[in-house]
Amino acid sequence: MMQAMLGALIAVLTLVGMTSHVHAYPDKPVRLIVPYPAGGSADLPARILAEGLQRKLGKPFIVENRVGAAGAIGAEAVTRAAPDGYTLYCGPNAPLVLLPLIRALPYKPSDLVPIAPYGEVVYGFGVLASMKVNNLKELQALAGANPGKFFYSSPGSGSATNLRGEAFKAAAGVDITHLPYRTGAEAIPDLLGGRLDIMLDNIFFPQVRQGTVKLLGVLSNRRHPEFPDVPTFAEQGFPIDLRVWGGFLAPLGTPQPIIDTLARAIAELNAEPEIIERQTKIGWIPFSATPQELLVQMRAEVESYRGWVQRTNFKID
Amino acid sequence: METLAALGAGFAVALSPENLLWCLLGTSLGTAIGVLPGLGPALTIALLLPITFQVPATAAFILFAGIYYGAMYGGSTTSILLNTPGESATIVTALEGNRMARSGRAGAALATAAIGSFVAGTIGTLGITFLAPVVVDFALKFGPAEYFSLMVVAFVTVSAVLGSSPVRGLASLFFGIWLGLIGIDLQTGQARFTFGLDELLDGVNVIVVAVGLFAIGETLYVAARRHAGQDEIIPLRGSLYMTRAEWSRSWKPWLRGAAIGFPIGAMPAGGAEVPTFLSYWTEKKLSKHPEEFGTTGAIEGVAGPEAANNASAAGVLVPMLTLGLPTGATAAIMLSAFQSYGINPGPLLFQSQPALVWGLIASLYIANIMLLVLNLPLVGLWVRILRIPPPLLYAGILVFATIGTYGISNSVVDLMLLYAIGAVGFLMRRYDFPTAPVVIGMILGPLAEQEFRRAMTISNGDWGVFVTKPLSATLLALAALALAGPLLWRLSRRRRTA
Repeated sequence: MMQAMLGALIAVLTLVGMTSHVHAYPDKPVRLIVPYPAGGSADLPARILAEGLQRKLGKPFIVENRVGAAGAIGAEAVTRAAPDGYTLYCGPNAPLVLLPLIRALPYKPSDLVPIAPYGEVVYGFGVLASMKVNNLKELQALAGANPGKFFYSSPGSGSATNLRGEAFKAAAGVDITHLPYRTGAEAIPDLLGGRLDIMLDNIFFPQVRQGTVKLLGVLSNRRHPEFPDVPTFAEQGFPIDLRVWGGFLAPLGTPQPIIDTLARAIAELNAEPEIIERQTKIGWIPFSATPQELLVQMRAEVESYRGWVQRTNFKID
Repeated sequence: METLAALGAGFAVALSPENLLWCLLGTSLGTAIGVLPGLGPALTIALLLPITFQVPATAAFILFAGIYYGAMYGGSTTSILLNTPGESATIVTALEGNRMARSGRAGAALATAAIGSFVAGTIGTLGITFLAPVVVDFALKFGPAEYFSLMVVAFVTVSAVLGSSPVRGLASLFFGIWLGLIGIDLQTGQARFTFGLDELLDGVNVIVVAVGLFAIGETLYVAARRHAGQDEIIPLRGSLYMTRAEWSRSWKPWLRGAAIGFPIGAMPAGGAEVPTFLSYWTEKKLSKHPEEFGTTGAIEGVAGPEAANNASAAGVLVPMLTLGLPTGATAAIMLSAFQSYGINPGPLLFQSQPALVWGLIASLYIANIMLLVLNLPLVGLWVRILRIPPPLLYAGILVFATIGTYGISNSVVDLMLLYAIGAVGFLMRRYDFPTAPVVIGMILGPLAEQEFRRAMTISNGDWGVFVTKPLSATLLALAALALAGPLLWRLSRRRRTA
């Protein structure tokens, strides 16, 4: 009896101790590890959210760019950090869901637990307005009749966009030649000059607005708010779930209350009109999901990436 | 007409109070680093890059352009008063300018340099305004084959022109190309030259290389010749107002200098050294007072090269903005700055970022006016910077370079690279290898490789694509001529004398 009471007391005290500890979070600056260079498209959303989190939680959120190995160095640094909520991953999904499948890396996707997403980048297939195709089915027919005659761009072999292109080729059963460019911006002159036929990117959206480039389909599970007439890949019969989203993740073992505190704050920020406007302006469309939803999504996504890597025999050759 | 409307919109951007402030900051900073020997605009921009990404791109480039133009003005002050050129582009200015200062005409030398810089800088900026849109129309016809050939031209001219011998230039260039090739290959996903270091998979950051070569290398070099003797600062004497005779002897060299400087600056790898020497040579031939050259100092020998120098600085911006082709170290760093903002200079820049491009061009006009004011009445202030004890100055540069580099990606590997490349830079400086080709090779090498492989992919493996396209064939012929021409000329001359 005495022992049971003592046990209960200890349990209560620990609980109190834990919650008081949690209430204190954050009691010092939090580091947000961004695995890409400062000023880039993966860095700007992190800085917008860092500002918001600092405002909401009262402690500085400091963006630290740990650059290298296509994002693997930053991701690995977070997996090795103490799971205390003071070192978080803040970046796109590719280093987590794709890189461990194609490179020998000292971490796996499950070493990090999702907290909250900050947004999605919607990529689309773009072709010159003069090309005689209006949707993916027509592209499939045209490319099928001219095997090897068309070119599509990606930021390099082994990149996630390269996999997306290969996945479309496999799903459509067509032969399109891959042409790597370091950045999408580098590829645009060749697209407009008629030397490159297809781009899978979002960088040509200004040209879509001007009418020089046609958007054949968007790679997302919902339509792009700015181009609501353009159907998604899945709607056109190509169910390729290889999306780009960015979010916050924590090292495995981070206390759940800390994750919940952060998730709540991020979800509130994602709903603020000013943040939505700033993110949309730089190509990120904010969306919200609970840590559980994001975990489910990430697990499905890892399987999807794994499936397409195997189906397209995607490897670094 | 379209150009004037675009320029008008550009002035609206550049004249906003915030951008004016950036322009003022840039021109002041540029003048300061121009005055200090050994510090150049390339290094300054490289060091500022990790800090400026929080600033909108337009403001950042107005700042950079101000630094670039400012360094060209400031360099002449050191050349004239100290006989130590602050920039390689002002070496020639020191020849006559310092002699003028020694014979008590420092004021006139400084005045003709500053006013000549203003005249030529403005002519050069007019050149950008009207030439750039023409080049853009032309550049849209460029495909991978043409770009590759254009880069071959740049490689050849850069290494043949910069530095004391083509072999030294080519050695520097290939060192740069090798540095540029480190990392994952775009086409196959293979890692190249990474020595098993994950940190090298994304390649070496060009800023680390630039800072290593220009800051660490230069500091080591200065430290190594610490006891080589003190430079003497000649006190500022003579009125800053030029006499009627000095005006009439200056204005023609200014115009001639601008006419020589701008086109050469706009050529791939034209740079500022060639036009300044060319202008000096021209003025010496044409001068009515040849006896003053090399003795008491001829004002034409300051006016012409200074004008050529500033006009070429404007010319360099043409291929950088329109083709994405850097022809000097500063342009190379500015190009990588554009890239880190996700902006690709090239023909489309004028369509996709009109506010940025025309705002930048408009700010160049404003920068020229600011620099005239900063450099003429305030010249005494800048001279005072030269009194900073070198050990303090260079120690400060080392600290700033180290912190700045670490700030880019928080990587210790970057710091080790910085000092390793700094050591290489010191040796290159010591044994007279030019450092600019390293940076240019590093940026253009991987680009050339990609364009080459892209051209081959598109042509289905047919090598002929480089010679069957007329533009590409012409460019390759030019490159061959630039490489073999001087050699053949020398051979034929030797035969004639023999």
